[in-house]
Amino acid sequence: MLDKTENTKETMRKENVPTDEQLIERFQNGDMYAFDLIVKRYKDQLINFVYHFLGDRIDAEDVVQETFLRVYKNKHLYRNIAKFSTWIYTIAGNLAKTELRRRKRRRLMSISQMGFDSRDYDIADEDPTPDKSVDGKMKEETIRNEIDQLPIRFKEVVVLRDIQEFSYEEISDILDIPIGTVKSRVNRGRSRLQKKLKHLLD
Amino acid sequence: MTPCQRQKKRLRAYLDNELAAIEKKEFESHLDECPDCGDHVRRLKSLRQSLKSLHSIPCDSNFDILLRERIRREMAGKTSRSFVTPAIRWSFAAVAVLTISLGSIRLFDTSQPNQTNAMVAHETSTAQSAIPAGLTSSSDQIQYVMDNFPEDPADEIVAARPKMKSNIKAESGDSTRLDQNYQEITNNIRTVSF
Repeated sequence: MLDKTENTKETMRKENVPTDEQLIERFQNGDMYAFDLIVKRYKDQLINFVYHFLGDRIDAEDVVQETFLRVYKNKHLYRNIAKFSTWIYTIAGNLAKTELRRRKRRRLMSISQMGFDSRDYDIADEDPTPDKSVDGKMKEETIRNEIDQLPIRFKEVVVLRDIQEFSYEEISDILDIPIGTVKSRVNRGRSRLQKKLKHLLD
Repeated sequence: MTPCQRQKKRLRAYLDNELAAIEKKEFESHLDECPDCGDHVRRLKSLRQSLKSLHSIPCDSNFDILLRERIRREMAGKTSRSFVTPAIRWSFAAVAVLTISLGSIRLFDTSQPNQTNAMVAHETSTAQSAIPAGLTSSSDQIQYVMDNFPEDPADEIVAARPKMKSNIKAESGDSTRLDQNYQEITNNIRTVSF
């Protein structure tokens, strides 16, 4: 079975559309239009990828802009031994994780600066009442919230596999972890989500 | 290992359509027999479908313009400071450190209220190194050093001067002239400083 990216490449070849690797090579040789095409091709998928980490569109756009800026500045570092998509997703994923760590530090600092009495926690509802009548929008919001609650190691693989539809091999390259680990994490991530969203999936 | 546990190991491969035909048939026949496993797999399939059909987050219409502006700013900043390469920056830092170190050594030297002590000590060591070999007892050596010790501070300065300026040779006959020159230079420096 061909992966999504393999299918896309096949279609590109048939329609004479330049592949990512051809575009980056053109950009490395000074073709600025090729860079514009890369941005056009990747901006939406990267924003959706990063959004699942950060849960905020503005922040996601900022991270994706930084990703393209890094590609622009470091175009000479790309070698045609890896897929371009793997390279750019690795950059975006690392930047998103850095932003998450920064937020965590900031949150810890703000909590430590808070007076004990003035704490105002939002306690997450561990047992949400099943609501069979949730419409599509609410269902989507609930799914996004549950993805957001997943530990990062499960979240990143589930997003890459089931939303972005990457192959296990590509995910392994992007995250720099063994394929076996990717498969095991996908399995566990899916099971966790399934348990949390049982009321929506029945 | 129960049949459920055995089939659970194949769950991910089944969902990803990676099972061989015979394994797939075995797995599906188990799902028909076990309602719990059947429900579990059905929910997982539904989850995958829901994840696949999540709506795309719309990108800001100004994204491209903002990106171009960001790149332009970044590259302009890079160009304007491009002449200051890391090597040049390190060189400046090294020169600064060296200057400060030399300055502090000089400051340390001039801040000694009794600078001549260093010279005296030097003379002492010079005198010690020139102790005749015949004087073996330490009391004789001390006496020799004390006898040959320069008494007039001016002598010490004159004696020390050749070491400060290596191109000036101080010989006994020149010492008075050198001392006069030194006084003149010192007066001039004082005048300028004032």
